[in-house]
Amino acid sequence: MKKKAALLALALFIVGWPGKTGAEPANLQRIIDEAPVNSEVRLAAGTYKGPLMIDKPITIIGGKGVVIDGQKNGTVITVEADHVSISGLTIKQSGKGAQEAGLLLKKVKQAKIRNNWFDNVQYGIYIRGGGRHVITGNTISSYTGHFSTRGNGIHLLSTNENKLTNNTIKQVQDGVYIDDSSDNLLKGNRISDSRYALHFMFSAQNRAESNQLSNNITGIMAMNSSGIKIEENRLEQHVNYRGYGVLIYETEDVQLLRNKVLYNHNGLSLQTAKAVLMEENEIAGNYIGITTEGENRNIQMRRNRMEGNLIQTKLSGQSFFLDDGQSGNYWDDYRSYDLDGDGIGEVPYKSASGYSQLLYRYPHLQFYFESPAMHVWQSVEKLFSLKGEEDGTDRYPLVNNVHKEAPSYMSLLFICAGAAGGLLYFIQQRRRRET
Amino acid sequence: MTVWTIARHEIKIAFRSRWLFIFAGLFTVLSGIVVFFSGQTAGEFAGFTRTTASLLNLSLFLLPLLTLLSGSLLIAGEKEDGRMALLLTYPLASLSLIIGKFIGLAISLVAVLSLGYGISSLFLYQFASGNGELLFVFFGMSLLLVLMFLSLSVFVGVLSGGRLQALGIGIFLWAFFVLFYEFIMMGVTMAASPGWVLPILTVSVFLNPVELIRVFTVLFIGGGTVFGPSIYDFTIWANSAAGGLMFAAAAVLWVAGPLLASSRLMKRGKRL
Repeated sequence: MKKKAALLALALFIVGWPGKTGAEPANLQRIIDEAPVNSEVRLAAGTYKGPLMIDKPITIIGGKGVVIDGQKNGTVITVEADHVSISGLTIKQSGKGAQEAGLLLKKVKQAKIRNNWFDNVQYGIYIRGGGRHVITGNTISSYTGHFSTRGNGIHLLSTNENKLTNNTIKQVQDGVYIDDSSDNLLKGNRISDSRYALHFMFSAQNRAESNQLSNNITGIMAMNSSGIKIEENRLEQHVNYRGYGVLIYETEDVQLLRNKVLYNHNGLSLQTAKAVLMEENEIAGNYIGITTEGENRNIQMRRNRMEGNLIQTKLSGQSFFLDDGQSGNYWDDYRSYDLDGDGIGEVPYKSASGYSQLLYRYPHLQFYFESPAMHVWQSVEKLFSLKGEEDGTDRYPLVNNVHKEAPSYMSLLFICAGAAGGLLYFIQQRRRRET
Repeated sequence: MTVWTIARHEIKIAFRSRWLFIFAGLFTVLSGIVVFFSGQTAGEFAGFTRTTASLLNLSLFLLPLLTLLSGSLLIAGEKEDGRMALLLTYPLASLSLIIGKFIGLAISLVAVLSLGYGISSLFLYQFASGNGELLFVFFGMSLLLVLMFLSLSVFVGVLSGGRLQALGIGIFLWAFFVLFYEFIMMGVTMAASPGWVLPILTVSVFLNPVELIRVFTVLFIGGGTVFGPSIYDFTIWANSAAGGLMFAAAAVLWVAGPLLASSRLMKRGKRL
């Protein structure tokens, strides 16, 4: 309250810059230096030269056409004070060196960075140390070129309790890179056309909610971290051959709840993960639904929908049951009966077919995936296979999620044959009547 | 000119006979299934899915069989009941006879196939729940498949002495192209050293019309990732202009090759 009063007491410090062409641009650094603590600086449209340094609590408000041009010289705006608020700026042309960013929050707390545009910057927002920032509604993209030459959209290094919401990030290396940082919330961000959309490293207790991640190499990459809650995100179109919707690598205590993992090359991958709960995810239309490698322990899967994946699972390394010990998942290639009406099929679901086992040894056989000959082989195999209770199976596959079933071509063949037969019969009858 | 006369005659006979109407019904059902189930998959995920694969397989199974049997049985039948012998008493070049027969049969089959797909797409636009692009690709590829196998069937008809022989050869060829070929190729590539896998696979696609249609349908509907990383180079190449050109060339060769071969066969037969 006191702070607010102080802020009110101070006259609003407003810079009226006409922003006409040919006029000498205002020296924004001097304006900031001269502005009193806790004041509000409103900028008129125009291009202001960076780099800038903000070393006191201040509010900077831009608007349409307010451009800060870093002139490819280091970081465009460096913040070295708590309680700085920046909104409505277009920040462009940072240097291309390592860790040079559009905005650097250097060991400070509680910055509010809202509705800014970062364009042609190496890194978008670089947060080093400190925390409790609110970063919302920003649009970030880096320089063009291969992603390995670009920086990250929002880079969190040793910073905690930040809220990153509703940002749109495109064409960077990693959309949000979370390194040695904990208790951050990432919500409602849209990240595309980058390497990894969300990249967790050595971090704990972070949450990713309702983000839309698409067309990156990999959607969520969790490495050497713990305590990640991934909820209601949409991860789609990660179609690169080495791309994943979600990749959990040497990470423990992960909750994956109600995500939509659609049309990726690999939907979800567990590689040496510990204590993973997967519940009610829709893993659909991926080339491979779930892949596992290495030693995965304490994995629980329940009520996930595995639908329209060309290969449902590709399991290697330490195997586990594809259920939670009481209930399982819906698999669209599962065919069985539920005799006692509890919604669980009477025969365990076994996903590894002879073909997919052959595929491990001869990856090029993927060329014949779902081809006529393979289709016949797999149908025959299903008819004659003995399904036992073993690792890599879902002991409690759900049957009541049955809806739009992919047609088995065999049944369609019968429909066709039936129709042809009917027609033939009809014509024969007519001919007989004629003669 | 003789070609066109023979073709017209063939069309007339085809439309007089009943089998064409049965085909019309079959194609309508076939394309109807494509329309219906492609509509079912539209939405959350598009591209090459298990449903699409099933639909594609349906065409790959049925169309070669139907075409092979109809073409070869018709020609072998003409041989059997002496119509062919009568025709050969006229001063006709064997090539124009073969091409005329092919064109006549092709026009009738294409007409019937188009009718089937046309009826189905009418339903598609009526209820607007299908995947139009997918249907279009399927239609185009089905046409090509039919043309290639029709050419083969003419060859089978000329080769065989009678209907029964034609039936046997036709079914053998069908089983070979649709079923055995892939297993043979899998065996060959599994035995081959890794460096040879990609060249063998690439060549194998063009040596079998069913493979040609299967692989390029998948590519055309943007499901190239399905083939996997180990033959990434093939996917890239096949998607390039060179790959498209090779596809067109192979299709033309598969249509022209058997026709030329049957013309030569017939010439030799005349001499005998």
